[in-house]
Amino acid sequence: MTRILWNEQEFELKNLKLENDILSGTVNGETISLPVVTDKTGRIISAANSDGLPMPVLAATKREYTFVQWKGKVEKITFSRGREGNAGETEGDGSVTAPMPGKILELMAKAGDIVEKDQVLVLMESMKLQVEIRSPIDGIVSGCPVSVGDMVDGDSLLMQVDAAKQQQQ
Amino acid sequence: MVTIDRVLIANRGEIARRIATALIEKEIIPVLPVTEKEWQQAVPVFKDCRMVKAPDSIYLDSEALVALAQAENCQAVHPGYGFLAENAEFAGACETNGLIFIGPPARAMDLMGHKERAREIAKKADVSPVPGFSIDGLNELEIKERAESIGFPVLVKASLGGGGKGMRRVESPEGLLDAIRMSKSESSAYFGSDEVFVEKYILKPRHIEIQIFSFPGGRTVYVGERECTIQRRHQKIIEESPSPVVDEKLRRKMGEAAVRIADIVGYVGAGTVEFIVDEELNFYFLEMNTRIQVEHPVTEEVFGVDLVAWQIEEALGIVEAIPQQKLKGAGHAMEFRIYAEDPAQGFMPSPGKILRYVEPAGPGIRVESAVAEGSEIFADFDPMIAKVVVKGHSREHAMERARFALENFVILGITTNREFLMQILSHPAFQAGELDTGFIDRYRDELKNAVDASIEPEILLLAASLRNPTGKVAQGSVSVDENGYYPPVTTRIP
Repeated sequence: MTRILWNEQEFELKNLKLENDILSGTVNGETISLPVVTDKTGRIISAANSDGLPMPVLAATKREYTFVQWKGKVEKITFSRGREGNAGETEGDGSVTAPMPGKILELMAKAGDIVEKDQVLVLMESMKLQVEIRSPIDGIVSGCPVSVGDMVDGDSLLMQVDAAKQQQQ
Repeated sequence: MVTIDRVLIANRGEIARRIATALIEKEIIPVLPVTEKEWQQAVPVFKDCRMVKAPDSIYLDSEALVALAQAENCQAVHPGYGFLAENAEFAGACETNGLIFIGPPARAMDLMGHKERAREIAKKADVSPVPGFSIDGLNELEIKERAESIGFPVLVKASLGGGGKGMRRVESPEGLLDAIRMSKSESSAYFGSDEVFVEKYILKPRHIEIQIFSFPGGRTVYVGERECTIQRRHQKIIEESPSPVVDEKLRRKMGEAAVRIADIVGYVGAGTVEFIVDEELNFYFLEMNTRIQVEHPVTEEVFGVDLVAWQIEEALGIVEAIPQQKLKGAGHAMEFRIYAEDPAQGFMPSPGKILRYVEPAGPGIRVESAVAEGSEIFADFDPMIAKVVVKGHSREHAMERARFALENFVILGITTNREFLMQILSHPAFQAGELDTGFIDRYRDELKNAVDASIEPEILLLAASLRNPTGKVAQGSVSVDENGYYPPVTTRIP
């Protein structure tokens, strides 16, 4: 089962077909059709906007993501497997991750520290810019797997914060 | 006249490509240091250059660059912008080792490269600088006192800096020392010096600069102005020429001021004198950039000149001096800097791999870049991907062409500021030429809300059909497989 996510909403797509330069399909039960232009290999290279003007369309796929540029805008659409879990379930998660690759300049909290939401926990450097990484939640720092001077990849875990409510009980 | 057949480009990215093209036009071989990491992706972009493998630190390593130039039998070095371009010691090291440094004499760079000294020179040239002071030799209390005497807000900036690196706006005395500490650290990382400078922040300022070129024999001309007011994090993202507020009279006044400054230091070659212009159109000397600027193409388009070729011809001793009255601008040019960054997240850099890349083309469109499909934007360097330069017969015409160019610039796989630039372009204040350096902060919400978040399900049909590795869509009804791909089925071609 493939789930399609776009702008934090889930979509169901059925009956995708291309006939006589008309691309059609059913999105969440609604049937849509779109005049397109294909190249000699059958690949769609442009699609009409609401005024009927053909607008170039290009796409690229990386793992579960497909990026589409159409009418000057880029959209990122997720085609993910499995049905368990909801989009945005990471809400309330105390993982502090690197937003991009870079170097750790300063750790402003250590394990056991009580921290507040939006408090700066880590100072990173990327592309010669210093970036402050803030706590996503109120809580207690339970771990910090990195050290000052480390080079880290994007998305790597920098610090773990356990939610404050566990402390109140 | 000098014989030059090989020139070391002490730089990378789009400016290395720009310089390489200018050299090849003159049948000079560009020699280019390329890091191991960037090698693979540099090959297709610099296939007409002599590429040499170099360590990651090469672009800031004066000694290694000189050694490389000598080992490769280069007679000259072009530093581009950033890195060591304004480092007088590097220029000096080139000169001592018999290499022509394509730029001003080390002495002129040294004088202008230091913000405090440059201000003294401006005063000598009868041009007022922005009120400010160097923190060198001052203790914390003295720094605070002097800052308060010029009045907050102030700007803290790297004495040797440029491009907004190491620069911070400070609203009140409390934030001053922290800002100085941060600027120092960024400044040492980027310019190899932690000297910083504090200066008065002029409210609603415009940033307008004059391009100059000093031909041999001290014949300096000004080549119009560039309005570089649209900035984020003190870094320019849109530049244009002419400025919507500069008329012929002000242009001459600013141009002549810039020429006087250049003449005092015995300048040679291309340089830029930057001014801050207030709401009453008073202009204050800010700094001089003793190098080619990122935004030089804007001037080239309006004046029909090739500044990089002039630099090379000057080094060769064959440049033909152009008299001031022959430099006439025509039309309007704009430059848009495309960055790998996320405007929705405070312009945070967004390095990564470019999966699809198609540059726009058409009349009046010029793209400067050094990337291709599959290139990776690394976190180690400045995140600029490309510059889109457009030229039209009027500002309106240039904006029309800019919209077309930006809309048709395809960069997929990483987040860029392209759509953000398009939002600025459609903003009524930008269209009216009502600019100041606070533009982006002031209109942040409007610019964000203008991003069309409407859900058009058509895009899902396109994504699903193009997601399929062959890009083909089935005849009849199909469903996605467990990898989220639609099975490839041959399409009948009508």
